[in-house]
Amino acid sequence: MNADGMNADDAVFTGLGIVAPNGIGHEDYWAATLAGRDGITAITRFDPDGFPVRVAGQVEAFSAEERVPGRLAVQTDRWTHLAFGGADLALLDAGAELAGRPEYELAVITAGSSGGNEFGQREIQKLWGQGPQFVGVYQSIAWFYAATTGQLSIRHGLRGPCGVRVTEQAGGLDAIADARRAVRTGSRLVLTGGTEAPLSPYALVCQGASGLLSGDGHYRPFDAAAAGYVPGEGGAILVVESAAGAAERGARVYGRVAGYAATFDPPPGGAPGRPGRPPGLRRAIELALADAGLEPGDIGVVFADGHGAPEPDRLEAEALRVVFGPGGVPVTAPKSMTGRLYAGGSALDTATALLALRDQVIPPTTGTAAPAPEYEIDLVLGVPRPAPLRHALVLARGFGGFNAALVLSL
Amino acid sequence: MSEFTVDDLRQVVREVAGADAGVDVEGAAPGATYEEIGLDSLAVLEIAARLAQRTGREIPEGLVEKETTLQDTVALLRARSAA
Repeated sequence: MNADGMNADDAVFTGLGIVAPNGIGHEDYWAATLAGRDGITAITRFDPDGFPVRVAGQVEAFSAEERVPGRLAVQTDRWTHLAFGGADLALLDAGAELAGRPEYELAVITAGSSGGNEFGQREIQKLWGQGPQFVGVYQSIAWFYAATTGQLSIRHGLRGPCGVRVTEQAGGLDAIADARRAVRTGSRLVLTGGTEAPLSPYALVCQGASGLLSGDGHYRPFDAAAAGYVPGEGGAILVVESAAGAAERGARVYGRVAGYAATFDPPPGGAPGRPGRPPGLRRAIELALADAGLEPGDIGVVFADGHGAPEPDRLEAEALRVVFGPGGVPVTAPKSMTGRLYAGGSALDTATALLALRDQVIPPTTGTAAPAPEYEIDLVLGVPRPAPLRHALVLARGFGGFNAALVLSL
Repeated sequence: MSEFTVDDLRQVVREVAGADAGVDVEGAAPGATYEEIGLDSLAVLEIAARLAQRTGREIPEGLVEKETTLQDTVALLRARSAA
């Protein structure tokens, strides 16, 4: 360990590639986030009348024509387009030249949660509208969860460990943890994070089945009036490197992965033979802190999952209260400005937390008027809060029982 | 239906491959193979499927491959529509 508390095989972040509803590129996004600028708007891509929500976080400024080579654009879904854009931004930010590097030391591990929705819908319509011979051949490689990882691997010549995490909103953190593992086993640079493009008609209908989408078109994490969440598209692709590799090429380092844990909730109604087993979020927090060798008091800010519905908000607040004490740590959920981005969500939260560490300021939660008093959380509302930050905790919960906690340190 | 030409085929290739600075479909010689134009096997499969839709006749497997030239493809289509 050197004077900065870093080990040679620590996984450090050197590049951020943000493609978010309220900003493309980390400086635009960060300025919007600190200003509380919302990226949630009326759905414009199709007529949302009759759909479970009519607003969403849309990355309207993203142009595949500008950011994706034409050949790749026809073979891939919008979710992969967003990742191509994010990866370019991240590599540029990292100043990482990949050409000429040993390709088996370069890895790519992303999160995907619903695959190529828009592409898939188009081909399903051809299948049932025209016949099987009209289904395009690229459907075979465009829809599935690993498509983004595979396309990034081919495009950038990343032939080391490749993988995809499919744990819904927890996926971004799980993928970053896999990136840390890749670094520990010899990878020098990993593209990680995740994106999502869940705003096609078909995808929205699928999401409606959960009953968790906002009934009133507002997303207000921890508000007593919270009525569900608003979905969004986008996410973040991040460059992770070994601390030694980053130091060798003189790369600027945003922070490092200090700790991580994932847990799984019992099924609704309780686990067979294990009555009373509690939800796993609190354990994920405790295990991630232990992995980082930190105490709760070391954490300067929590980027909450912030589901935006009474029951999950209550459970998250309770986990925070038990670990940190009532109002014991500043909490924020800037995803209130983007909506929940599924596989892209916790990747974006991680990028946001790294920017908070860089600038020593906690971005606000918007939309929420005040947290429900019984939650006893110190929610950073409306305006940014300057704070001395060395360690940040990012939390995420994925539909189906996934919990993940990631500790980031300067 | 007017006779299928190399230019018609170029149009199909362009739709399948997408616009790409690295691929010159317009400038490709009739004697060029799909591989030489820079297409992979999936793209060629898609081209064969679109040609079958366009002509209303299936193209048996193996007749349009990466190694097939544009002009041989056109000749094949003409022969099959004449048959």
